[in-house]
Amino acid sequence: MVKYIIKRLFLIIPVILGVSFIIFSIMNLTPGDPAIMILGEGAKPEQYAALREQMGLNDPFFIRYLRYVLDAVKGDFGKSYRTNIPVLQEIATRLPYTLKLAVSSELIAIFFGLPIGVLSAVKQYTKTDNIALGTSLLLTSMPSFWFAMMLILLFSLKLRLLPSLGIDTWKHYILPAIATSSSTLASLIRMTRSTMLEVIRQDYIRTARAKGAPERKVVFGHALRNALLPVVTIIGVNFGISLGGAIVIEQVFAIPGLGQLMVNSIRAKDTPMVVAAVLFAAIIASIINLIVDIFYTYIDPRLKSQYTTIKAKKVTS
Amino acid sequence: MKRNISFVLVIMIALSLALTGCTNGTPSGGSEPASAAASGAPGETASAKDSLLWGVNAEPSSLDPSTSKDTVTHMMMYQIYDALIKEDPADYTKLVPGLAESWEFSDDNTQVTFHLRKDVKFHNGDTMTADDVYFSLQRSLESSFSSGISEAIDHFEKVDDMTVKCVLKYPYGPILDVMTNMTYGIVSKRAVEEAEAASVDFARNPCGTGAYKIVEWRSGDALVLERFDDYYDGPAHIKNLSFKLVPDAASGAIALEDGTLDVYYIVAPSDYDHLKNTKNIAYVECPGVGLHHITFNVTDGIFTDKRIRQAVAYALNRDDIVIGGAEGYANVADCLAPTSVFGYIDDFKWYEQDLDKAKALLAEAGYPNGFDVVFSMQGSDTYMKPAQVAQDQLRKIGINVTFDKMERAAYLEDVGNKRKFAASLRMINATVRDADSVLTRRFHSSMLGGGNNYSGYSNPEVDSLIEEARKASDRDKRVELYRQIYEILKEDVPLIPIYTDTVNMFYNAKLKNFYAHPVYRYAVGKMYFEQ
Repeated sequence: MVKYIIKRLFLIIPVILGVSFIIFSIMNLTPGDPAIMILGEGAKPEQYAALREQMGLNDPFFIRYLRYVLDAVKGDFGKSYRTNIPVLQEIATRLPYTLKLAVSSELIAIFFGLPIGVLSAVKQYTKTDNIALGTSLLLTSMPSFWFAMMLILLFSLKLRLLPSLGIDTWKHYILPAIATSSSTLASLIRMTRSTMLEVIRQDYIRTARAKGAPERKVVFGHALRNALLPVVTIIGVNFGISLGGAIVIEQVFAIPGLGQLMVNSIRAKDTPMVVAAVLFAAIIASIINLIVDIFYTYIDPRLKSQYTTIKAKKVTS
Repeated sequence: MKRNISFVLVIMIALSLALTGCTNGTPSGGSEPASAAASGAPGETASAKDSLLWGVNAEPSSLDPSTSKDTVTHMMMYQIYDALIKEDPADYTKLVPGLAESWEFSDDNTQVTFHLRKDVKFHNGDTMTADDVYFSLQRSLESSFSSGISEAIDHFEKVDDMTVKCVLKYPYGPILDVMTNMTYGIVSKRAVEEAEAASVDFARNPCGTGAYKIVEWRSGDALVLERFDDYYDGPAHIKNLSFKLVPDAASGAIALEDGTLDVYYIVAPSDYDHLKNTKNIAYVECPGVGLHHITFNVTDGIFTDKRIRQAVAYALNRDDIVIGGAEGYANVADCLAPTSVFGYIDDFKWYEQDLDKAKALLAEAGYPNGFDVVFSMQGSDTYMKPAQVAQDQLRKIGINVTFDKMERAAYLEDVGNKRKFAASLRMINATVRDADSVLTRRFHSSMLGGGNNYSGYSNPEVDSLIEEARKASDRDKRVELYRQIYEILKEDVPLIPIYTDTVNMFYNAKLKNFYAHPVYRYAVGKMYFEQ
């Protein structure tokens, strides 16, 4: 198992290289000159030229990319074109806000999505099921920025219960977390419902019922555990989506996270910042996927036995 | 079953941990002034307070006067720095002494001598001297960021410990207005040199003489300032001032309405009417210094023919563009200068809409059925909304406009730098409130090739009239020269003037001494909250 984890961690390296190359290329291909963005309109051509030279923008693409990678390996991700702050320092400041938002939104989705999905499956074709499905349809159809504005209008402006923007207390995270969680919550409800429905018709569930096990134990003890596998996948995938979705939500709630940093950096053609921000998001998504894979083995003994069988085989050979 | 309960418990604990984790103050270490204000629950502003939370749609680019030029940054820097001359907060048209107590012009109007105010303290405790002032002014003059306002200045000189001189290349009427610009804010020489020696970025650790000093700049979040008790003009009434980044204009307007923010820069025109009728919100209004206009590429493409440009001018109904493009919050401009600056002539008239004349001109130019053309545009509503109204009006004479919408970076390079465009609806700000600021940058030949003359227009007669008007000391004569320039430009139509926006600022109605300003220079030091 440890070997597997190490192997997977090493696999992140080509992912990082690939992502960095793609982003670096895209930033290079999109029109716009960082030097013009910094100096604005009105500066003289020689001033632009001098700044471009100083920023190393006159070198060929591959030289610049290679220089970037070599510096990055040494832990130097460069300085922001826009603010002149070391990129790593800026990301270290911003990342916690985005993570806090992503984690809290995932937790909200799990906390409500799983029970509602189970309930919906158990009470298939009843009013409860219809309400649950309707809610999930509504949540998945609403654009998150619109949902966020509606939450602000209701809870901040009308009811005056929660702050409309900021990051200072836990209260400030409630509305953004709900807004970010909406699509994950919707897909969790539907996924849990459909996998539960599949499992609930299996023979061993009938057997459990026949031997007189209480319904709660049948649902949560036997059915849910087996239904969790695809659900966990959804949670993992959606965590990555939450990181991306934060871009919109952070703008609306004025949260100084990674998403907001990316938007502003892309607008300013701040290549070092954009590449590093996307890289860190990719690393986090890769690690989350790894955690999800490890988590599978705890939910599904069949997968766990695969690892142990491989190990046993190797030992005997 | 136990396992299921523990599973739910784990989730609940994780949730509560995540939420309590969020309560540990501000993760970036910030706490006090900004947090106190920012964390205020909606409605808390009802009590008298000494913290002002000012929402802004962008972060400052740099807090160093020599490396910044954008409006929002200057609005914040105006609290940290002073210039030699400033405007009366209650009447921006009146210049009053700033860090210079007085000034005088030489007989030939090519030199201005500034007599400095005594006992002015910097935020680091140093007393301001002519060395600091000379250092600051010369440093900004040599910076590329001062281009656009500094063309007339040759150099600065230190005369004695309390006197500094500005030497001009030629007599230049608007020089005093230039000296109010935050680009010429005064920095502490020692602070800059110490920052350089310690490899600290002065742009993030500013040291000026202003009413507020920096506490911290939380990247992407807020710029936190605190009252400077030794301010030469008396300490500010409001102790804590924070500029909080709120990029989304709709969120900013709501936060203003629910009392989270005290001021927001800058509310979208579509929210003006609603906020004007909101009880706890006050507003100030004045004409801005921008000129929305259509620029033609006169050296390449279909608009090289003057008759086609005139046809477009005849086709437009600019009153309708004001309504559709700026929700009515703008004034139609008839001269090629913003309506609020010196040199704008009220009785000068631009083309009135006349579709028959427009069609006749098109036919004369060989396009009786019109043509298709692409306008290169920045994608924001500021430009797209008026452009869409113009698009509809041009369709009536057979000109089918489509838009190539670009991000700002791409636009600056394609339209600004490479001049790869046929026409564009854009805006220019008069960085100095004088017609010269716009006329020089948009029409003078010296601004061709990398300057601000994007249309490529070159007319020696216009060049010499601009130069003559710039140097003339008699204001009536200057106006007369500008009239001649406008007449020529009306005939040649390299640009079509459309409108000058009004500047509307909305704020907490309890905040007093908030006065309108066309380029957002608000003296927060003089403001206070009503009890």
